[in-house]
Amino acid sequence: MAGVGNAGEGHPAHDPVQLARKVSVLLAGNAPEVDCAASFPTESVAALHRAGLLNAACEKEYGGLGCTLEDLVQIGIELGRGCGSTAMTWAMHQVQIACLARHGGTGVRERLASIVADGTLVASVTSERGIGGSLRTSTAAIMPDGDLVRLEKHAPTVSYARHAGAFLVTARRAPDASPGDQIALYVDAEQASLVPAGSAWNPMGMRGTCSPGFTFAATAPATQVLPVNFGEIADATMVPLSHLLWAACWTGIAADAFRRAQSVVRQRTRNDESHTEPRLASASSALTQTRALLTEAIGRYRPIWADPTALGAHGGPALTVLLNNVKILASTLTVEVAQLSLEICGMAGYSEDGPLSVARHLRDLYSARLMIGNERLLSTNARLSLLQRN
Amino acid sequence: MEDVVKEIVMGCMESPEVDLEPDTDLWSAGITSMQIVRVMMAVEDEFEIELPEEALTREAFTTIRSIARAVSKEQLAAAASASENFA
Repeated sequence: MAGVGNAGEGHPAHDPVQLARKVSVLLAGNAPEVDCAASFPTESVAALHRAGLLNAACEKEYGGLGCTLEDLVQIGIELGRGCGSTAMTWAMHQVQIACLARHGGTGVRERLASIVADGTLVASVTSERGIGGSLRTSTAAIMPDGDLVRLEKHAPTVSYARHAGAFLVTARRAPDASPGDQIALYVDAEQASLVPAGSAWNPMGMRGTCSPGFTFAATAPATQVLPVNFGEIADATMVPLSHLLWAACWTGIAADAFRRAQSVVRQRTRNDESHTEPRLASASSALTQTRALLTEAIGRYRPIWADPTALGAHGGPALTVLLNNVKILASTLTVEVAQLSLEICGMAGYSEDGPLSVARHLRDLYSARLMIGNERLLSTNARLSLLQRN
Repeated sequence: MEDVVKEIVMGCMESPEVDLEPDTDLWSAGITSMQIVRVMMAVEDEFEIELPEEALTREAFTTIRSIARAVSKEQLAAAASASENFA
């Protein structure tokens, strides 16, 4: 599916965060069915496109909103309140589109305007069987073939693959290149074939992201290889933006669970003025910590977001540690919020249905610790902490 | 100093595939962030300095020359600080 709605319809003259808040209501309405059927949130993504939010992270010159980091994070939070799967799909697409806009060569950038106008989703094919979840390692290599390159990759998970019109794929630069010598290749859906591999998609949470495994094969012009090393793309854009926007989506999911718990406590307080609920305070504290981390990380990443060539001067171990901490802490603190909300809501929270249910919230949030495993990030931070100057 | 830094980098990179010149981009040569950590620690031990956080940028550890430059800068700062203390 190349497009998900009517291009350009009702592009916003308003505050994008306000718009996200409005669209999130529609997402929330679709979320139970998307979750239950593990079906892609086609209607919700189309609504994001109609609102102009689908390419919020893309520069205005290509038809995107060119949002600030603050706005992108706020949009992620608003969408997360409505539907975790739609929010996460939005976040992953923002990352891919930003990588293309910021690091793509002329041939790739020329496609961006139509990608944005058509509401084409761009999916990432970065995971690979046998690399232990390491983004910065590839086994598959591009094979030169005249003006073309060929690639076959065994990907254990490709989010919204069947609903994407394009892919950003990592691979080794050449068959004799080392595992860390990676490039990123842009591939149109027409240039790719996806053969299902592994189990059918039936996960615990984030069910609407539709992320099963595939054997991914592509033949594309060599000009679609992005002209910078993948390491630079990962450090300047893919990793920081992923951590910030994923954390934003999780924060939104947790904030909705908190709101449900809050409504219960309000009702109890109406009935008994002396009623207090310390667990609500703990949940509030965890949400505040997550938001504070996001604010700190936005500030530290801002110069590189403004100009990817600022990576040299502003990137380094301190930023890596901070961004990893955002991911690690957001992925666990938000689960704490949902767990506390469950305890407050009781059986109504444990139910899969009803206005006080936090079941989907919890199931969705448990995915957070697996998306780039926390253990891997902790190991990295353990090493980098040897250099930390507090 | 560049020779000493080169020796440290070569040791930490575990036989890099390309010959390292003073201006070879270490990231392009395949250095990993974990290897950079080892280089930084070895450089601090070798030159008996502690690089401040603002010196620990990706740029500072891009080439052998830039590492040597960061070390020199810190050595000068340390020397200036020592002379201030004795003034």
